[in-house]
Amino acid sequence: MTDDDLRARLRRADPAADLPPPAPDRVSRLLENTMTTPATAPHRSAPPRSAPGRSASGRSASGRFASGRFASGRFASGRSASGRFASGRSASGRSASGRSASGRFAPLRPAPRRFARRGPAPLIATAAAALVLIAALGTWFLLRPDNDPGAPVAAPTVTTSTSDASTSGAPTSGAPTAGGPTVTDITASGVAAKCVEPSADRLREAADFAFAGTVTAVDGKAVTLKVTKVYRGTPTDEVRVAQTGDISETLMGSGKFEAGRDYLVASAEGAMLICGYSGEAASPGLAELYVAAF
Amino acid sequence: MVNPDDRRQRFETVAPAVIAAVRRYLARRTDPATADDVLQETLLVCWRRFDEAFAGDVLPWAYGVARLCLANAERSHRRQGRLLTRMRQFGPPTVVPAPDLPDEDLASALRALRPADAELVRLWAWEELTPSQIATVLGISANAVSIRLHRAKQKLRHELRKTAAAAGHEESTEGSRP
Repeated sequence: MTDDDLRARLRRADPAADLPPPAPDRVSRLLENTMTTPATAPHRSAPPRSAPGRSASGRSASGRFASGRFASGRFASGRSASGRFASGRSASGRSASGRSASGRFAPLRPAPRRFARRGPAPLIATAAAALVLIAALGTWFLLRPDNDPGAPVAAPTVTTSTSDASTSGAPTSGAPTAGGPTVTDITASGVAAKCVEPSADRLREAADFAFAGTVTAVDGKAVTLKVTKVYRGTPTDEVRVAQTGDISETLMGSGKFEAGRDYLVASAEGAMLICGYSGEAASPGLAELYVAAF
Repeated sequence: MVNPDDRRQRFETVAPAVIAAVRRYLARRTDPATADDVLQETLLVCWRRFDEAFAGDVLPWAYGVARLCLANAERSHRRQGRLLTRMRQFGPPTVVPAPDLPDEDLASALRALRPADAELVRLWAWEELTPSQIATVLGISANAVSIRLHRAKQKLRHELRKTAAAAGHEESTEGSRP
């Protein structure tokens, strides 16, 4: 029997030969499940418990992923995320035990080197994790309470964080500047992963400010909206939001603010909630979501 | 640092092919429920470690990930099985059942090989990988794969001949027999 015969005979017995192709919606669901996990991570990554901190810092490095979105995002999807991290841990745990595993069970030689964790990492990794954590906490403390502490918690604060988009804002939140209309500033973050399906519960939990408004002006990176209705938070007349990218995951509809259109926007701690929680008022399901949540 | 959008896009480009391939890989080696779980797990690991894949061919790398994920799943299955046995004194520990092959002789010949050899043959015939790709999957050198694969094929032929002879078949006892 030649190699070809042998191969042909094996192929005839291939159990996956009549496996139907995966349904497209299953593929997209798999992808969605997968990519909602925050993209990480330089290889030989720090222990999973440092992941939130690390990704937070990574985010601010890669642009402006303001704390707010993921602060709330973290709470919102925290449970599922931790589940995923748990599985992630088993994955990397496996890589640590890969050698013994392949020795014992799948008796196939040592695990690929890329899976093997090299020697004295744990201590350094722990130290790094601690550092990252401290840095993240520090950043959070720096960025967060720099406003009038007397302001009600629910009021969206003017985030003067690293944004270049929302520089102008009056440093007090919700307070009218010299008799003018009240203006509230909101920043917008980018997207590092796919989104989980939005839910009213999560919106209710996460948002401390939500309103309906019409875009009156788009000025480079800042968008001004005239507020028509405030669902939650301190009433205000005008809101300035940082212009977003072109991704509909950031902002439902076209993905960015356009003059003259109506929008529903929710924010937490001054950062716009993305992933289907803000967008064009006409986007399917969004108005219903707001009604259900508030 | 890779731009996250860029990374996403690249992942989305290769993901369908990876899903299809890994799905088949798992269907050949385990039951459907386990295959589902391990597929998701594999994708997660691929997504997290995607940057590593870029040095070379994505598919063998993904097979390598799937192999380890499957080993993990099987290990926990066995653990559960042992626990059940202890709790109920009920049968031997169950192992994840491999799918049945339509060709019973071939199936028993494969079972007669050492598991590592059988896996080499499967990767060669079913996943249609070259020795160097198999080397990526298993994390060993291409040279070692060539040698082991050659031996594994010989053993498989030998086993097939044995079963054929036992069953009184004639066809496969052609010339090469000592």
